[in-house]
Amino acid sequence: MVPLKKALSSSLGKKYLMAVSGLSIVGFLVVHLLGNLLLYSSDGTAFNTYAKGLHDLGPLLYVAEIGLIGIFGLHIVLAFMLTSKNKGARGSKYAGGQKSKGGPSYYSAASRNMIITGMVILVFLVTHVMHFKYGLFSSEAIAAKTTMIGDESSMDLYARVVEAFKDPKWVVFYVAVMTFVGAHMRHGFWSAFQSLGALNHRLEKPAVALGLIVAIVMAGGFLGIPVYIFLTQGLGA
Amino acid sequence: MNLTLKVWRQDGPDAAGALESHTLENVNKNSSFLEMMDLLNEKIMLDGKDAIEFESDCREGICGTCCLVINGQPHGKSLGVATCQVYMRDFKDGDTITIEPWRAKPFPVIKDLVVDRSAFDRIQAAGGYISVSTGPHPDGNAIKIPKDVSDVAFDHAACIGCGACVAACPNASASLFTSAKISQLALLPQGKSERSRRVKRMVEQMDDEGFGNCSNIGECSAACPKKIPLTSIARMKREYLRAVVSPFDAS
Repeated sequence: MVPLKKALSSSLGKKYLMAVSGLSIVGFLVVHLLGNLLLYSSDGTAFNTYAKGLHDLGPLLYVAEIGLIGIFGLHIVLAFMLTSKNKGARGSKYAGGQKSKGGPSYYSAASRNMIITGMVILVFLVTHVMHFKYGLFSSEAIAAKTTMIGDESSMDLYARVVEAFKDPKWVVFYVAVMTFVGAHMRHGFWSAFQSLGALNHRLEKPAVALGLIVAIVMAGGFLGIPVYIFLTQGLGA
Repeated sequence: MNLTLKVWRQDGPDAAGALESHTLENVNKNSSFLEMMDLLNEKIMLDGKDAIEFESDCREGICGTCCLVINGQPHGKSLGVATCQVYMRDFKDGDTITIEPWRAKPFPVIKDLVVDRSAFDRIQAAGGYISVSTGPHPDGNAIKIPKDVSDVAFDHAACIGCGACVAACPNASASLFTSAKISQLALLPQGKSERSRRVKRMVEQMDDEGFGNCSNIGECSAACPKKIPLTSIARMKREYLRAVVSPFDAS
């Protein structure tokens, strides 16, 4: 028997929480991407209707938002705690540098730099929410623009997105960050199952392969939206 | 073959260390890496200087004493070997070889290339054993163990506690060592009665020693002279989760 409090504060416990929060974030991203696929329709009504639907959830939306902030917050705080212990454990570095031995190792830029890719994603996350939720980087006219969904007036989120992705600077920023998201998921996804003890000698390789697929599909799906809007509406107009 | 060797020299745990350059001529390519180190030490001693301190014992890959990081790789570039099983034919004439000790806070340098690995002993002592009653010898084959289970248990029992996993891990985590010891005992019927207490105490000791966390990079497994797989760490995570939900103190 291990008391729960002790278990969760142990090195293994922190990794269980890291894995569960990470997989929850992947779950959120899947739903987020599915909703955003509506942006591939050049008529903004579908996307704006979806956005209004989410807004109309009212208090439920706040509960979901607080939950997301909690999950992201846990993942971020644990990441800094784990990394600081990891850096301290090495002590002095290898004077001649370290080289991977290959073989069964998953040593790569992605697996070695989770904290770096994670911090880039954190900066992006704040920018992204400020941009599309609060219209911080939108022109005044677009930030205040409304549209009619049925008989009701609603925020024109589609216009806000299109305005951003007509600008190549935003497109480059989003594409760059999504490659970091891909790299983070490439190691993070399968790694979560390993941290939870869900893998064995038969499941490890398939999980690692699935991690690559998930990373490519998710990063590609998100990355395609700004590129598509830029090509169809930015360049074409 | 002629070699340039850059060897880590450090007087004690608190002293500052540095790489020291040496040249060695006419090294036989069929000599072992440690024999090459012996030759280097003879040369250094003939010059009236202090020999380089390094550890070795059995020199046949079963004791886990020798521990050198060769060109940034614990036990050199080959998979599944200890430092004593590295041969000079793996190198070319004119090569420069960098030789360093294991680097981890819980493995302080005693002198030069020798580190104190007693942190491993303390992890082992915390729970890496089976309590047995004295008395008559039990009948052979009285306890049935499936062949595949005993094979995996034996694969984990092959761990020689050299610490290459810690040296190779970018986080200096001792997860592979600890999980190998936990796996070996938890898989066998004799080890099951103490499995919860064992994993709890060993993980606690591992954390207290100051080792880093496992980031599932798997470099430990690549460096392991006994090829302990990364799935061993997954088993430790399961054992720990099992101990969290177990209603019993020991098992």
